[in-house]
Amino acid sequence: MEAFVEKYFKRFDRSLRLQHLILFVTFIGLGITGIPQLFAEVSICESCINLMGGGENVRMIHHICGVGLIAVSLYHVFELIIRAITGKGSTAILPRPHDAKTVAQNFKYYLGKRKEHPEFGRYSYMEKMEYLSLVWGIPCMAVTGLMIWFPLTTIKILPGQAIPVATAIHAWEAILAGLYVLVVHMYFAHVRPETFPYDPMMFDGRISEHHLAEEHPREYEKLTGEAPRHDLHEHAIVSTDKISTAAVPSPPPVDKAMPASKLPGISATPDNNKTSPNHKENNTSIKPQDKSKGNKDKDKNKDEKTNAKPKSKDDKSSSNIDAANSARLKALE
Amino acid sequence: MSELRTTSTRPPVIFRHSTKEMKFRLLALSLTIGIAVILSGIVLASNSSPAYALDSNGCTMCHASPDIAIGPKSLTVSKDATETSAHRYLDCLDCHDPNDTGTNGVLSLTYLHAKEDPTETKPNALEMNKLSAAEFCGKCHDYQYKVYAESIHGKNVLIGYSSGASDEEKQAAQDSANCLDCHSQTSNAHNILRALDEDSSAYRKNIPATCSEECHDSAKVMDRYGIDSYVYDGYRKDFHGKAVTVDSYEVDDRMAATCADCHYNSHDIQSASTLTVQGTCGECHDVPAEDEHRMMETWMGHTEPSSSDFPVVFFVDWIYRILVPATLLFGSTHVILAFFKWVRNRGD
Repeated sequence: MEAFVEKYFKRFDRSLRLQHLILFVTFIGLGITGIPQLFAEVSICESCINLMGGGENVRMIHHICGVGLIAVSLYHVFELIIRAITGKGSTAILPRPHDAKTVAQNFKYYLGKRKEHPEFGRYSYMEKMEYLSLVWGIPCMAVTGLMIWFPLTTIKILPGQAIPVATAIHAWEAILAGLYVLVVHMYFAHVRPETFPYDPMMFDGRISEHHLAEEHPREYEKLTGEAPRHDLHEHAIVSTDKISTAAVPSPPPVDKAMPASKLPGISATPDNNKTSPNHKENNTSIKPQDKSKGNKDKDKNKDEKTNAKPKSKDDKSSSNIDAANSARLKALE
Repeated sequence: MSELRTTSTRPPVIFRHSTKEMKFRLLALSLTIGIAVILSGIVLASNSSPAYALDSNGCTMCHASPDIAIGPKSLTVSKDATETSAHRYLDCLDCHDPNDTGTNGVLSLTYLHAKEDPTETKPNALEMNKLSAAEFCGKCHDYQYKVYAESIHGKNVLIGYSSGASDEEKQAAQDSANCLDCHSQTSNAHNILRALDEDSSAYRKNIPATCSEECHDSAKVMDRYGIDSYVYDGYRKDFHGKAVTVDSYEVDDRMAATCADCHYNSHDIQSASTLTVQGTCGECHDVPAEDEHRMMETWMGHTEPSSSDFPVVFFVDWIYRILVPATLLFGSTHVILAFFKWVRNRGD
């Protein structure tokens, strides 16, 4: 029997996931109320607006979503500042010279001139670009949006022409962001064949080992200290020696939404000690878990280690993780 | 591994109730729906019963026929049109005066009927023209006619029909709107709708379309007078136009401005050159007089941005016209390459 046991790494913490959730809800809200307003003279947009309760309601929803998006962006900035002060900040998202190399590698890979996946770090250059486009786009949309929302206040400060200029920027930027998210972000985050129909990574915050090793080899190297294996998804049985190294001491990234017992295999974040000290950019991903949860999970890990011996399979009270481990070992014997 | 996953052995719940109770519930539900459908049918049927236009002499017995005509001139009066018309409580003879001897053109049907041979073709001189129609409306709608006569449209019509008018002036009179052009969808006196009727071409939400259709959006007509035929498109893309299109409107509402609000008044339309900024925006917007010029600048309703008009907007448009396709090209190239890479990897 082949046992497919997948190991998971923590990729996004709870705060970032929540921010992303608010971002995408408000973004969609802004899109479906904004685009019909932009093309209000087209009859289908007019019907869409009527379906959503008429111009006044659509504008109100648009304003509420806009305020929500501004709020979550401000919170993000606030969090960044706090993290910078407390030294937990990460600069992994910022572009660096290595990215230029990966662009070339990526195109070579796509065109079949290169066998291995490009050496992306924690974030690929596409992901960095998307983040930076939000850094530019959200303030741009927020400022122009507020200008159109409060035109009489705006013209007290700026010349009257600022309003049509703001309108034009707001419209174009919306088209750009909307289309880009719809085509590129949706493809790479969800609908691409590898993750079709959707990838829960941004909602449960974890990334599978083979996904990480395949698409973020540098990050994998930093987290595990070993060169990425490209055949992880083909040989899903984890060998015994793998267990001893893979069953890392630090607790798995469990939260209420995804209890450990429901995970198909071991879920674990690598611990701090394994990464070499010069990898500063991974700070957020490997920050220590809170204590209250930690104790329980450490017990689990102890169980896991003892269960790694075949004799422990009669332990009925052990969790699914233990069961998975014993099944795996059984299969190997 | 699969046997390790816990699977629910309980059958899925389809009906929570017993079959008997379910039958009863279904019966009750279908009865309720049935009664609702019948009731709404009755309500709809009673609402759609038409009003009847006054026709004490039974004129429509003949004139409702689609075939009735003298030569090329159709004499058909659509019953559908008259029965929803604002003037349905007027009898035919209230306008088509039996004592009229033909001074009012085609209105003087009694004059025509008095002839020995009713099918005899009458000279075209008896056709109503723009001016006589407007004057005829003005017999009752006295105030509106006086205001109209002062408007740019009314002046054009009056000049064009005065003696000694030049060809251009005559053309201008033909191109200018009279009462019927705005108040009737078909420029036909028989289907003038009340301006409060939402199907009316003079209904507030329909005013911009009424002004534009075949007149202000026609480059051919507007070029004769040096008026930009972009006005309607520009208006629709601007805030006022969008709001008028999509916002709800009750008759007592104050809504975003239509053409008639800024160009003075619906009957008193003035040329843009005679309009003053002062007070126009302030009619609706709470804006101090010194800010009003700035406020006017914010509005580019009628102008297509160009290097001379609204150059910054024009410039922004061009930047994005390059930036948007370039960015999307970059992104979609990745999408396409990534997808085909996946296809090839599968093939290996």
